[in-house]
Parts: sequence; structure tokens; C-alpha cells
Amino acid sequence: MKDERNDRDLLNLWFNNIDRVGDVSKRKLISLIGSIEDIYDASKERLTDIIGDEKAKAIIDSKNMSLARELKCMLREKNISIVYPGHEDYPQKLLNMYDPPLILYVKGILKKKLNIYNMNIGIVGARKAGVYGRELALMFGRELAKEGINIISGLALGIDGMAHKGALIGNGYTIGVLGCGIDIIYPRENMELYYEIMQRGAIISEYGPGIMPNPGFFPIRNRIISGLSDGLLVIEARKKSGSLISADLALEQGKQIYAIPGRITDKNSEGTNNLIKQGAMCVTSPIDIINDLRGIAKEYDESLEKHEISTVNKNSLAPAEKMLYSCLSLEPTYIDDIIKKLKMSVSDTINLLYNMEEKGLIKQPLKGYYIISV
Amino acid sequence: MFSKVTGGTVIGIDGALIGVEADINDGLPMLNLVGYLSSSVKEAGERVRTALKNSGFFLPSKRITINLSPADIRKYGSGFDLPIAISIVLSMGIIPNIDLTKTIIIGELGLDGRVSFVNGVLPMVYHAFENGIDTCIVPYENINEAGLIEGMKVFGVKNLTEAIEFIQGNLKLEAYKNTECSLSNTFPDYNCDFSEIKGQKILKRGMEIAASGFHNVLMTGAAGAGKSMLAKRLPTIMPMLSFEESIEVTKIYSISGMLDKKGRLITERPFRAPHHTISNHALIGGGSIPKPGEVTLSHNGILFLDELPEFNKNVLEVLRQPLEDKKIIISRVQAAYAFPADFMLVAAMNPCPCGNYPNLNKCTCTPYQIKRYQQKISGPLLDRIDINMSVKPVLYDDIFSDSVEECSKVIRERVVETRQIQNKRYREESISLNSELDGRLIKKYIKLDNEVEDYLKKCISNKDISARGISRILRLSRTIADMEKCDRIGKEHLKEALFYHNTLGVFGKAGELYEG
Repeated sequence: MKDERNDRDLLNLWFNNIDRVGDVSKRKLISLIGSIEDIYDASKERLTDIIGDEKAKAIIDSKNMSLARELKCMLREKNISIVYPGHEDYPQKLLNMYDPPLILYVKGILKKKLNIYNMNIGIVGARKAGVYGRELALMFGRELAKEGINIISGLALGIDGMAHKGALIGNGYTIGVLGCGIDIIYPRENMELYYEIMQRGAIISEYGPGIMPNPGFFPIRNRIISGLSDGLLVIEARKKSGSLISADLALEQGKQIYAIPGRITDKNSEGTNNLIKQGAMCVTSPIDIINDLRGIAKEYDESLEKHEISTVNKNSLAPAEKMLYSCLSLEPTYIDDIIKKLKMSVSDTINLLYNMEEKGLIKQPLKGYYIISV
Repeated sequence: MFSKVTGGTVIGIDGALIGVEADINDGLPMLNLVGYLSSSVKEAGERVRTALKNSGFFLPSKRITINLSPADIRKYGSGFDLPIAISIVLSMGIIPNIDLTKTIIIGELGLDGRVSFVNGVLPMVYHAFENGIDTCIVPYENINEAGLIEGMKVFGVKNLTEAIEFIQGNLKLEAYKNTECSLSNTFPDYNCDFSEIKGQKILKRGMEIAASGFHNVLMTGAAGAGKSMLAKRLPTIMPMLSFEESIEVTKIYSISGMLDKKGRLITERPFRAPHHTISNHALIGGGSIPKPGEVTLSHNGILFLDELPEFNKNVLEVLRQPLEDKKIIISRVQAAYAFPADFMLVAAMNPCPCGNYPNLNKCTCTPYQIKRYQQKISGPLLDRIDINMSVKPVLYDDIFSDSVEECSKVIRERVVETRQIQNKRYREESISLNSELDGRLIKKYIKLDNEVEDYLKKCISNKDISARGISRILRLSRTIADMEKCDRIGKEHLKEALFYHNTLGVFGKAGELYEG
């Protein structure tokens, strides 16, 4: 028993997995009693005074730690580590929140100091994102990661997933914050991404193994995304979007909000345009964010300041390619409209499109629809 | 006294000759029918007795036995009434026993003795002709159909008396000649034309490729994009049915009772568009005595499935076998019936339940709904579709523009040319079109230059294409190269094939739309 009391991992697992005792009660206990060790030692009367009879009884009953021990074994088997306030790997940025997570389950490597500048950008946005948002999320994720900025997001469909993907392409570090149990891959579509982030970044969650996703968990998860970030970038959000909750939380936490503008008629850009109206920084290039972060980062290396985003050198294109390129934008263009503009035969157009696609100049995000690649 | 005449029935889509024997014997008066009969034939006894009486022939008070042979074929249908009646009259000995071994007799009797229409006369008469029978006596309403067979002497009778008088030789009938019999060389009128579709160049090119190589097609796009309109016009750019094809199609329609009374040879390519509530059996054929389903009715033509995801999943999966084998075999206890089902599948679907994806301003579906909707089309089915195109609704300006579009005739001429190239190439094989190439034949007939092969390999590794997908792409590029009259498949043909191939799933790689 004595050993178990001194095993901080076990103690934290115990404290965070007591049935019927919620987050609010736990925080109350911590603020009034102090450390978890002290809570473990506290008398039933003391506990009853603070959180009431029923919950105190639950704490006393669970003191044999059977559940925690079982959990610890399971975590070891599944290669899941835990961090908690006071742990050396616990992200310092979270401590600035008013309700930092009491425990985080981690898959992958949670670096103590996340990167050279210790700069994180959260990227959030619509799950049902358009091509415009998806491509921009990919591009911002990639370019910011190249600059050594960590990308934090929620591993959801749409913008989140693309931001992670971009970070991985840019060889950067990325953290996925889950709104469900650490070992639950939700949504299933992101399975590949989940494993890749596990290898090259970290997946974290407040919820232990086996806990299924619940709509209520996601807003709570969002506060961790904004808590970890120095700035939050919103790409494509509808009028009532979860991403706007994240933005509100980030604002409360004193974080910078960046938003990518969209056309005022696009429903998917209503939320972001509103954010800009309310004072979020309007971002049209990753350089805007990099420059803005420079003000926040103390250790930013001035010599690295020139970040260049490779753009297409139009002079190197053949005339037909140039014409085709100028027809396209980030708005998917249907191949028939391209044919009409180029006045070329169907097979020639298809061939031209394929050649340009191979050169990485354009993409086919949807069958028969083309965009320029950014 | 014993007598024998010949009747016919249908097995699958082919006719079969049935010997109808009658014998009158001493014994208790009765009419006894034997020979593995279905109930519709068993009832023939009552009809025949009454019809004979009302035509002035009174059955002797003796034991009459009718046998339909061979005894191991299940006989069904109403076409046996007339041969049974005639065999009885012959065995009664009131008319001289005339040699009827080279005559087939088909017809249903009414109680008053009239002879009425029978389904499936064409396959029966066709089969009889192939087996050396040169005369047929059929219901008057069926003469056009029977007259399609050149060389057959066709006599139509309106009632039993007429039939018996004719056999006796008292009545002279003119052998019927179907003047519309020979396949006319004019292209059938479909009342529509490709030139009515404005714009949609990609789609039209895809359809031309499909028609040239008989490839299956899937179109995905919002409502009102012209998917059905285009599909309906597909027969107009396909070559005319050959005489054999026409006969085959007419036979199928004859069995199904869908031939008009004029008994014209069907020269239009079948275009079948069943509603999405169709059942398995209606689609592939079925019933205790199997009847052709929609896949057989669209034999040599087009099976158009609009709103593909709305079809019952089972129904779509049963399509897999006919798509691969070009025929459908329906097994029953008595026999296995083979129906031809060499059709071109043309399917159309919306990209999402509300129909507006990828226009996110209009689409009200959740990502999950869209994904599930697109996943209703199973991989194996998708794998059998060579050409997969997205469609975008045309703009107002295009619909009312004065632009001159190519008419069906011009496209058809090109298609015919491309088909001739294929026929020539495969003249020593059992196939005639690129879409029929299987693994062995692909190896034999499709040889890629090194450069092209390297390119294909690169594409395969980049785009995650299955082994079946590769052969689909090769077949498709063969057709495209044939259209350009190129012997070797070039990179440009391969690229076009890749574009039309379904590497991107139904509409973009399934899930890729929202996947991270």
C-alpha cells in the first residue's frame, strides 16, 4: 500500500477514474486539499465536507486502487502513457488555462518543449469542408510546419484532418486532440492519419481507453486545442460551428485568432468572415501568421525570418499550359468548362490536364473537377 | 386409331418441338392427357372437347389418350390446344390421315373454336425450321411473327374449322409472306438525337467510347444534368442490330409477350429503364417457369438504371454475374434455363441524398450521409463499370445557345468504324469487342511499348489501382486507341482511359472528400 501511494502515475489514474466523481468535484478537492496524495490521505469527514457524502464514499471505496492497477496494465499493453499537472512532460501551456486537464493520455511522443520556438498553432474548421478550405488547411499546415511551428488540431474530418496531413507533409510535429477515448479511432476514415501521427507526433486525450465519442466531449476537447496553441487559425466555419466555440475559448485564454476570409455568399465562410468582423486577424498567407507569431516568440531566430512559399513560375509553362492554369482557381472547375475556354478537343484537354497534374501544378479533388494546387 | 402431329414449347428463350400423339381406344369414355404437363396444359382437355363440339365434331364415347413427348420436358403454355384438337380429329378417322411430320401446329383455343394469340411463336417456329420443318399453322394473330423466318410456309388460321378444312385440303390458304421480314437497311427512328444535347462534351465523348467498345457507364451528377437524356439517346449512336441480333431480341420479346401484333422484327436496340423498386426476379428473370427479366430484355441493348443507390442492394449485387458472363442461368428443379444477357449497363446517380453535392452552399447532407450514399454501390459492381463520369448541370446559356452539336448519325458512323476495327482484330476469337477481352486475350492483343508500360506502372502505384482495374483500363485504352485508329496504345490513350476509369471511386475517392 505504501508503494502504491508513492506511485504518482497510479495515484493519478486512481484519482481520474473514480466513478461518479466529476471534474468539478475533483477541482474543488484539489483547490482545497492540494495534492492528490493529500486527497488520498484525507479523512472521510473532510471529503464529505467538501463534496458531500455520496462522492466521498465513492472515493473511500475506490481506495484499494483495483481499477487503477488494471488500467495501468492496460495502458502499458497499449503503449499509452499519461501526463498530469506536475509531470515533467505535461505541456506547460495548458497550465495557463483556468481548467487545465487533470490527466492526459498520450500515444506517441509528447515533447516537453514542443519545438525550437515552442510555438503552436491550432487549426480548426468545418468537418464538411469545401475544396477551398481543405486545400488551404493542407497548405497552411504544411507551410507552418516547415517553419518549425507545431500544428494542433482535432483529428476530425475536413479541415482538422487536412491540417494534420499538411503538417506531416511539411515534416513538422503535430498533435491530435481527441474527443473520445485515446484508443478509439474516430472517425474511422482517419485511421491512416491516426497511426501516422502516432509515429511522428502525438495523439492526446483526456479520456481513457475505451470511452466512446460523445457529442458533449468535443467542446471540452476544443479547449485543449486552444489551450495548447499560441494562436488559433479558423478555416471555413459555418454560422453556428464548433470551430467558433474553439475561437471563443481561445479568446478567453488570450490567444490570437486568425481567420481565412471567404466569399460572403459561401455558407462555409460565414463563420470565418464573422470572426474577422469581430476583430480576428484576417490571414491570406501563412507568412501573415509567421510574422504575427514573431511578436510573441521570444526565442524566434531572426535569421530564419524569410519564409518563402514556392509559387508557380508561369514563364516556364507552355502556352497551352499557361492558358489552362489561368482558367483555374481554388474553386473546382468542371472539365467541360475548361474545354469550352481552351477550345481544345476532349482528348487533348484530358492529356494536358494529366501532364499538369503530374507536374504538381493542378489537382483533381473531385472526379472531373480541377483546381490549382497551393 | 393413332395419330401424331407436332407442337412446340419454349425452354429459356429457345423453342423445342413437342410431339402430340392421340389414340382412341375402347373403354370408359374419357379424355386423358399425359406427358409431364403443367396445369395450363392439363386444362387444355376441357377447352379442346368443348371447342371440338362447338365446331361440329363430336367426340366418340371412347377412351381418348393424348401424350405429349418427350416426357421429360415440362410443357407449359396454351399453344398445345390446337395440335391436341387436330390430333384427336385425325385419330377419329373422319378425315384421311395426312402426313403432318413436316408441319408444326401452334394455337390456343377458345370454347367457340376460335384460335387465339400465343406467346413465344417466333422461337418455336425458328427452332422447328432449324429442325427441318417447313410448314407451320399458327394463330392468325401470330402470322407476322412466324413470317419472319424466311423459307417457312406460314399459314394463319382464325378458328378450328378453318384449321381442319385446311389440313383436309378443302380450304386453300395463301402462305403468308411478311413483307417487313427482311431487315430493312434504314436506321430505326428513335425520335431523339444526340444533337439535342448542348455542351457536355466530356459526357458525349465518354458515351462514344462506351458505344464503340460496349463498355459499362456510370454517370454521377446533380439532378437535371442530362444523365437520363443522354442515356436515352445512346441507342442512336450504336450500330444497327445485325439480323441474328434482331432475331435474338425478337425471340426474347416474343416469349415475354411484348411483341406488338404486327410481328415486326425488332430493329431498335432495346433500352430498358426499370424503376428502382424492381425486385431481384424482375431484374434477372424468374418464376416457377422462368421468364426473362430486365437483363435479358435489354440483351444487345442498354439497361439503364437511374438513381442507382436507390436500388435494393441485393438487386444490384445480382447484376454482377450477368455483367461478367453475359448470360444468366436460372436453375429450377426441372431444368436450368439460360437466358442471354449481353447488355450495356448505363447507370446514373446523384452524388448525395439531396443531390447538390459538391455545391456546399446548396447541399444539406452530412459528410456521413454523403459517404454512405456513395458507398451503396459496392466495390465489385463498381469494378465492372469501365467508364465513370461526373456530370455538371448545363447552364442556361448553353441550353439555349445556337451552337451546332454533332448529330447521332455522324457519331454513329465513327462508332461503326471503330467496331469494324475491333471485329477485324478479333475475327479468330469468339469475341468481337474490346469490352469482352479477358485476361488471356488482353495478353495476346494488348501489347504496350516500354515507355507506355512504365507510365502505366507509375500510375498504378500512384493511384492505387487493383488488378481488375488494370485490365479495365487496358480495355478502355484499346477502345480509345481504336477510335483514333492507332495500332499501338499510346500514353495519350492511356491517360484518357485513366480519366474515364473509376480510380477516384464514385465521385472522388470514396471518403477522400472528407477524409483527413
